[in-house]
Amino acid sequence: MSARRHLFTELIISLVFFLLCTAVCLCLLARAHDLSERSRRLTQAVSLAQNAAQTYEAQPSPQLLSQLLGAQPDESGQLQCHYDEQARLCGEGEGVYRLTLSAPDGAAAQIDVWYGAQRLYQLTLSPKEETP
Amino acid sequence: MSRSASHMESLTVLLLCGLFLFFAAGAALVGSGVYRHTARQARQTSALRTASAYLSQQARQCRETGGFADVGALEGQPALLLRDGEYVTYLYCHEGYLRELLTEWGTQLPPSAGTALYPLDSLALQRLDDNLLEASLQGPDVSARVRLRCANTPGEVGP
Repeated sequence: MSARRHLFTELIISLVFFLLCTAVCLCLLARAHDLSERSRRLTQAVSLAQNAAQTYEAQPSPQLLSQLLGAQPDESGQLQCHYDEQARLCGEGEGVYRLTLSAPDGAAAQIDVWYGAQRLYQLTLSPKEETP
Repeated sequence: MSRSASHMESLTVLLLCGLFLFFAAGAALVGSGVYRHTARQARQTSALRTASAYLSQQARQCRETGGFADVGALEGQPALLLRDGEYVTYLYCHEGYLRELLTEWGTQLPPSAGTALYPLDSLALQRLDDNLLEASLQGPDVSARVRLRCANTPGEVGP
């Protein structure tokens, strides 16, 4: 009777200990998943900002720039474009990434990439030098 | 101890072992699923960074050494041509790889002569502006568009 009871108690303790270990491992995996997702978003954001920067460097004229980026200027003169989860250009409603480019005359241009309300990446470009 | 109480205890022990197996299998399944997803995302992130960094770096190097770039073809394969003096570098996709071929301008070599750099299914190139190109990359782990600023003298490059 006593041996059986000991076995029974031992099993319960082992199960509880195993469940605790499993919970810790699952928390670690969930954290790894979250970090990987954040890393993917940041990589997409950097890629979008680099593409916008290359476009700006190649064609700083606002009209052509907005055409090349597929962007719409907002009320403050900032160019804005939206991208879906795969970083493809899309409409405002379907977009998860939002890229804004502000280029005040003679000042450094600034590119921001947002994911919802969170700013993922910011890139400041030095003012373009006039070629003689 | 009665016979039925002994059966009850045996049943409880079996139930506990069953629970243990159930949680062990569940944890293994969830863990392997999350691991696969995380590993795939890491591969995709790395592929995007590597491919875009390589193309951007090549275009920048060409621009800074006074060369110019254009969209061309190498035996029918769309290729990015980076011409620097007497030499031209072709970047193109052939037999599932992004390849690089550095050769003297005017020399005809087959696409298989290039060095295989990176697994890639297709590379499409498009000129967006006088000095802006766009490369669309499709591969097992990458799907991306990379814009490349380049100096160009239209009409001077491309076979």
